[in-house]
Amino acid sequence: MAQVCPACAEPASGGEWCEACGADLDGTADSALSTASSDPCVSCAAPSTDIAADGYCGSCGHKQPEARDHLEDDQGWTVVVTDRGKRHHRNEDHGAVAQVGTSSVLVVCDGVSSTDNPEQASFQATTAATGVLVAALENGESDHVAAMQAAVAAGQAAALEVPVAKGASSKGSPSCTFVASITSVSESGVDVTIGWLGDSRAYWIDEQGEVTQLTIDHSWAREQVADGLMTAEEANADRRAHTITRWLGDDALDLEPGIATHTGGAGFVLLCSDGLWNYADTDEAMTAQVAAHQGDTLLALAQNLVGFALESGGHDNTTVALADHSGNPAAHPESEETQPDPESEPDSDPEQDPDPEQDPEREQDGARG
Amino acid sequence: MADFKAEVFQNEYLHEGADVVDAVVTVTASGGSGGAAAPPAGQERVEVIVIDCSGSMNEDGGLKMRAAREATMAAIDTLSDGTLFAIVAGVDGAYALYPQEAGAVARADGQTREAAKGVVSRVRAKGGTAIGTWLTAAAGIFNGVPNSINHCILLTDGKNQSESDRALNNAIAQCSGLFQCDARGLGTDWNIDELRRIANALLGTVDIIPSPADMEAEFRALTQAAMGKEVGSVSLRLWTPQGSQVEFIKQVAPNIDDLTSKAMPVKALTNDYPLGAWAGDESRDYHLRIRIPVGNVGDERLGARVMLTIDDVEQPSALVRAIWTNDEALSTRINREVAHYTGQAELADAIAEGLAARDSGDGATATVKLGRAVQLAHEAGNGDTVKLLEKVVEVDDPKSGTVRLKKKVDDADTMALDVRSTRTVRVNKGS
Repeated sequence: MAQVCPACAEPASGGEWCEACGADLDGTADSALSTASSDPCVSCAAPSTDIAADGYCGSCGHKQPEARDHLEDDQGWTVVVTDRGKRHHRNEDHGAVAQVGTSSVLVVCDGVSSTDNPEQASFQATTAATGVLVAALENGESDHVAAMQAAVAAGQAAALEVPVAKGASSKGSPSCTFVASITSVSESGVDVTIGWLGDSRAYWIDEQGEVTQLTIDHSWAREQVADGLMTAEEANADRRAHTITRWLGDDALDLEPGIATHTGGAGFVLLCSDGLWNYADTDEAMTAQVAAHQGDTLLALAQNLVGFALESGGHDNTTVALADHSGNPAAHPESEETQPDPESEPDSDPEQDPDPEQDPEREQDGARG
Repeated sequence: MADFKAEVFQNEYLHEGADVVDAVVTVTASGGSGGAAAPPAGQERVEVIVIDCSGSMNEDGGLKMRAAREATMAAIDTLSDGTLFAIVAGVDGAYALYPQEAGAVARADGQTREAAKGVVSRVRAKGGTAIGTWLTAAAGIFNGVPNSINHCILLTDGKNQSESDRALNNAIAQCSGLFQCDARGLGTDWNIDELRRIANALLGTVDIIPSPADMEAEFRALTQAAMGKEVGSVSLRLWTPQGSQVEFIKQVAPNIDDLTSKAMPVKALTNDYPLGAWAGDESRDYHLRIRIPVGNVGDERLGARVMLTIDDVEQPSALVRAIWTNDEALSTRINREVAHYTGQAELADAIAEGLAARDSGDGATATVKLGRAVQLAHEAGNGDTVKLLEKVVEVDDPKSGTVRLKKKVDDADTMALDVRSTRTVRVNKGS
C-alpha cells in the first residue's frame, strides 16, 4: 500500500494515519464532505500542509470550511444557493434544481439540528426526491400531486437510510424538513405543485414582483396562530416558535405532506429554508426583499437573497432555490444546462396577469392535534 | 494480534465563551486469543515474583510464611510453558531464590517449575524490609531480557523500614517503563502510600490481602492475568491544539489512575501516555479534560486527537470535538459517560477525604464525606464499594447519605476501603 499522504505529500507508511502530519489516510474520520485545499488555515493561518485530510488544522484544531458550507448550482433558469450562515458550525440545508423541457423541479430540505446526521438526511432526501420528480416529468406523468407524494415517500425512505448514532450518544433519528415544487407550463399558464413537511417554504413571485407564500408552516408558531391562540407576533416571539410539527425521519409523527397548487400567469417559484424567511416573515417583507435584491441574472437574485440573510445575522443555514417561469423558457426549451438565464425579467410579458391576488389552492390539513 | 479501537463519548457543543472540553474515551482491544496467550512472535514474557521474607512473616506461628510459600508455588504452577521467570526473596536486600544466580531467569516447563517450587518450599523468613532493593533486583532481571512483556508480583507484610524513602523513590523511578508491578500488602502492618506509589508508577494495582488464607487465590489470579497480556507496550497518543492545556487525563475504568503527569512529549502538541500491557480482550475508559482557546459561535475545533500506539505504531484515532453554539438545548446536554465518571471520581475523593478526617479525629467531616460516598456509590450502583463502606459506617439512609461512624472498625476493613476506593463501575452504556 505505498502511498503519499494527500495532506502533506510525505510518503505514507500504509497505516490509517500519516506519520508526518497525522492526516486520516483511510477515510475513517468523517471526511466525506471535506475538501482538499492549498489555502492556509482560516483561523490561525497555519500553512495548508498543517491541515489534516479530515479538515482540522494541525495547529489550532479549527475545522476548515467544507464544500457544503456554500454551494451554488446554476442551471440557467433554475438556480439554487445554499450557505452555512454565521452561527451554525455546518450547513445542514441542502437544495437541488432540475429542468425537463419547459418544466422545473426545485427541492429544499433543512436538516433538524437536534437529530443525528441531519446534514446527511437533508442531502439524501433532496437527492432522492429530485430524482423522483425529474423521472415523473420525463415519463410525462400528468398527476403532479401523485408525483409529489411519491417524492415525499422517496425522501422519507432516503432519510431512513441515514445512520443513527449508537446507543446513548444518539440524539434522535436523522430528520429534515422538505419542500419541493414541480412546475410546468401549458397553454393555460404556469402550473405549480408544491409539497412540504415542516417550515421550509415555497413562494410564488408574479410578474409584478408580488410574492405570495404557497405553503403553511408545519410549526408551533403557525399552529398557535391558526388555532387563534396567539397573534403572529406573540407566537413568533416564543422560543418554541420554530418547533416543527412535521418532518422526514424515522420518528416523524405525521408524514402527510402539505400540498398546494397554483395556476397562473408567468412568474417565478421561490423555495427557501427558514434561514431566509426568518428575516422576511410576511409576504410584504419578502416582496420588498425580492425587489431590493434583484440582479442581472437569476443566480444573482438567489445569491443576493442569501447575502441578505447573512447580513441580517446569518443565524441559520440559508437556502434559496428559484425557477424562472416568466416566459422565456417556453420559447427556448432546448436551452437548459448551457444557456445562462436569457433576458427574462418580468417586463417581458406585462399584460398577462389573469388572477393577480387570488389565493392559491392550499390544502389545510386537519390532522393536527 | 488484538485490534484496538478508541471511541469518544462527549457533548461536543459548548456554549458561547466556554473553553473546557470533557470527553470519555473507551479503548477496547478485541480479537485476541483470550485467556493464556502466547506473547507476540519475537517477544518473551517475563514474570518475577518477589516475596517478603522479613522476620515479621514468622508471626502467627509461621502462618504467613506458610501461606506465602503456598501462594508462590500456586503462581509458579500458573505460569504458561515458555514463560521466563524468577523468584526473589525480599528482606534488607534481595536474594535470588530461583534461579539462584542474581539476574537470571528460567524458562517455565515441568522440570523448572518443580525445581522452583522445591526451593520456595524451603524458604525461611529472617531480616528486614527494603522494598527499593527488591525493585532494583527485579529491574536487573527484566533488563537481561530485551523486547519482552514484563510483569512483577510484589508481596510485603510490613513497612519499608530498612531503607530511606528516597531510596525507594529512586528505585521506583528506575523501574518506571521497564515492567508493570502489582503490589500486595498482607495483613495490616504495611503502608498503603508506599505500595500505591509503586503501583501507580509501574502501571499496576495495589490491594490488601487481609488474611494469609486469601493469598493463594490472589497470586493465582494475578499470574493468570499476567499470562493473558499479549500486547506489550500500549500508549495513548494525544494531540491537542496550540494554546490548549490538558487539565487532566485519567484512566477511570476499571479503576481511577491519573495519567496527567506521565506525559511523554513525542513532538509539538503531541504527548504519549503509557498504558502498559493489554490482554487481547479488554476495555478501559479514560476521562480527559482539555482547556482550549475559545472559538466563535458556529466554529468547530478539534479539542484532541486520541490515537493509540502499539509498540510505537500508530493505530486509528478518535476525535474530541468542540462546537460553539448559542443553542442551549445543545450546549446544556449532559453526556452520560462524562457525568458518570465525574461522579466516580468524586466518590473516590469522598472516601479518601472521609478516611483522612476520621484518622485525624475529625468525626464531623468524616461523617459528611463518607455519607456522601455512600450516597454516590449507591446511586452509581457500586455494590462492592457500598459493602466496603458499610464496614466503616452504619448506613441509616443510602439515598440521602445519612451515616454514623462505627465505633469499632477492623483495620483491615479501613485499609480495604482505602486501597479499593479508586475501583469504579462502568457506565451502563446504551440503556
